[in-house]
Amino acid sequence: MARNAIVDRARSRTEIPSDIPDEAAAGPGPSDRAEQGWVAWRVHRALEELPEREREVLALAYWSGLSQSEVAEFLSIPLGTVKTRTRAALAKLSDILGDELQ
Amino acid sequence: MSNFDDMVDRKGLGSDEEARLRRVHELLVQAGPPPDLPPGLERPPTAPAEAEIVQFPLLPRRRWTLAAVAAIALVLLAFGGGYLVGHAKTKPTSFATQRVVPMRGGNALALLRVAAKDSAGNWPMQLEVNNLPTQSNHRAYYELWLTRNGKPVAPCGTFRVNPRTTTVRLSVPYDFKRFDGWVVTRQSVNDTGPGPVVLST
Repeated sequence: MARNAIVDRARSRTEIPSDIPDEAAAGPGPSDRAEQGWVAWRVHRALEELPEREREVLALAYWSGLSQSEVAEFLSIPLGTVKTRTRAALAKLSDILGDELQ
Repeated sequence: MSNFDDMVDRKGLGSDEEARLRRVHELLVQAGPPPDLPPGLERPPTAPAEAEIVQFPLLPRRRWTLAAVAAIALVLLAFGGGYLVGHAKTKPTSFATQRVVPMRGGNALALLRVAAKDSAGNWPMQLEVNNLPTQSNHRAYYELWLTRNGKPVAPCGTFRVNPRTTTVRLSVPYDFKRFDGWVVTRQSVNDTGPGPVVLST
């Protein structure tokens, strides 16, 4: 009896769940989002392998909105040192990321 | 947006090397800032390795006295060493930063460092404040807050500042995922809630 009730209910469902758009959305698809998420995860993991003083220079330079001069002032180090650390940090990240750069 | 040419000293940089660094630069821009809680912080602490069991044979009776004297000497040595270390004028020990949160406000800047959560659920934090005006009187102080929808909701500790740079250590037990930022407010002892915001993320 239960089986019959389930079958009857399934047969009665004829409505379309929702309207299907004519065109695909322009944004990134699931595979693109997965790829971006993977790359971001790899980059953040690679950052954790950097020495702290290089990691904080990158964090301030890329995500705090501070200019290089402001980073130098904030950390009380010369501007040249900020640029040197940035370059060294990028080089190390490049080594760590390896395949991701292809 | 971060500009590679402004950020990296390209003196002596070969074209291949520059291309490699530019690619890393693009990946950093694409990746964006780490999430509030790096996955490294969320990993449960690794289980301690199974303790190696070492069995010592019991000492012969005649050596117990010698062992007791040695133990007392060791305790005295440890106590004396601890006393000397405890009273030595040393700089604060380094801080195992896992996440850096910059804060700004006017001419003032602050760097909030967050370490890994301890086994009891506390997040150790170290706040370095630059150029925040010193307190107008002895009843004034600053307070760090976690925000939700930009409004300070969870107090994280109070502090006072020196004329230039001040470093304070704080600790909070909150779940950071429930908040969206940090602010520092100027407070007075008469305040019953958050005062005016002077630094924010």
